[in-house]
This record gives sequence, C-alpha cells and structure tokens, in this order.
Amino acid sequence: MVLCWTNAASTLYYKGYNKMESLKVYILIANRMCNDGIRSGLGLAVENHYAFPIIMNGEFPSFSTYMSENIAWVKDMEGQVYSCGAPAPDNCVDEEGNKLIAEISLEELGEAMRDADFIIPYGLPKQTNEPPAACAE
Amino acid sequence: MKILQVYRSEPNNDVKTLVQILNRDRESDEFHLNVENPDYDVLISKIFSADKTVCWW
Repeated sequence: MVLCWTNAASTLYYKGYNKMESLKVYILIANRMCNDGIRSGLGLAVENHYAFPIIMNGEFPSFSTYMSENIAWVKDMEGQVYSCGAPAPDNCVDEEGNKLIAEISLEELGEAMRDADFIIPYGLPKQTNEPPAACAE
Repeated sequence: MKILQVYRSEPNNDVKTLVQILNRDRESDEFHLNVENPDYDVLISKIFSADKTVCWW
C-alpha cells in the first residue's frame, strides 16, 4: 500500500483501497490551532469516510457558530470530535445544549485507533511557548 | 499486520503510550527523522514493507 496526502487530509489519495470503501480516519490535533484539523475531518466525512478529529492539548478556542456547526456536521456523518485527556468545553453545544465534543482517555484512544485505516498526527506539535496576546483567543 | 512508526521529533509520553498500544501484538518498526542525515532510502523501504505507517509530529 502506498499513500500520500497533501496538507489537507480531505485531499487524501490512496492505492490499495477500493475508492468506495469508507475509511476510518483519526486526526490527532496537538496544537491549539485545531480548526483546520476539524475542517479536514469534515472534508473526509462528506466524502463518506468516518472521521474522528481528536483535540489533544486541552486548549479550546472560543467556538464560533460556524465551527460548532462543522463539529455537529461531523457527528451527523457518524464521526465524532473528541477531547483527549481534558474535559470537553462547555462553549460548543448543539441546539439542545448538549456538548458536541466527546471525551476520550489516551488509553481508549489508543485502543480505538488499532482499528483505524489512517492515523494522521495533524499540523504542528504542541507549542512550547505561550502565544502573543493578540493570538491568545 | 506490520506497522511502521515514523518520528519527526522526540516522542512525548502521550505518543509513547499510543505507540505502545498500537504496536501491541503486532510486528512493528520505527524510523527517526529527527537525526542528522536520515537515510530516506531505508525509510522508503520500510514504508513499502509495512502494512500501515504513522508519521508522528
């Protein structure tokens, strides 16, 4: 099997897989800039794959309505956005007030990923320096 | 199932835990890119011989 992907996981190309096959893809997001990773998961979801973006740093931006809708859409497409190792934020909820982001432990995540077709540690690693105030939100 | 773990930097404890679970009961291999002059021919060879590859941060 040979695979390659560009920066956006939604443009994932692969050989050795039937193109009609729905793949199970985990997108691990360690950096606080999580929106791109979630959007990539959504791109895969609308292509009929099972996408599981995992926010691993426990740092959450203020979710816009647009991003909350994106996260709800991933869930509607039988995927799920998870928070690993930190409580899910209270500011990302559906119309009934239920949290859209589920919680998962590191061990549960590891076990779940054993069945994954692709695991994508996405983007930059967790940053070691505090962002400037202008970028803190 | 042979799984290849590729590291772009020194893995932290979270990555080590995940790799340990992923490698359990499987044939596994690893390749470090965070060294001086990594041998990319070896990397390509390892990727082709593995069923699954994960490239960590």
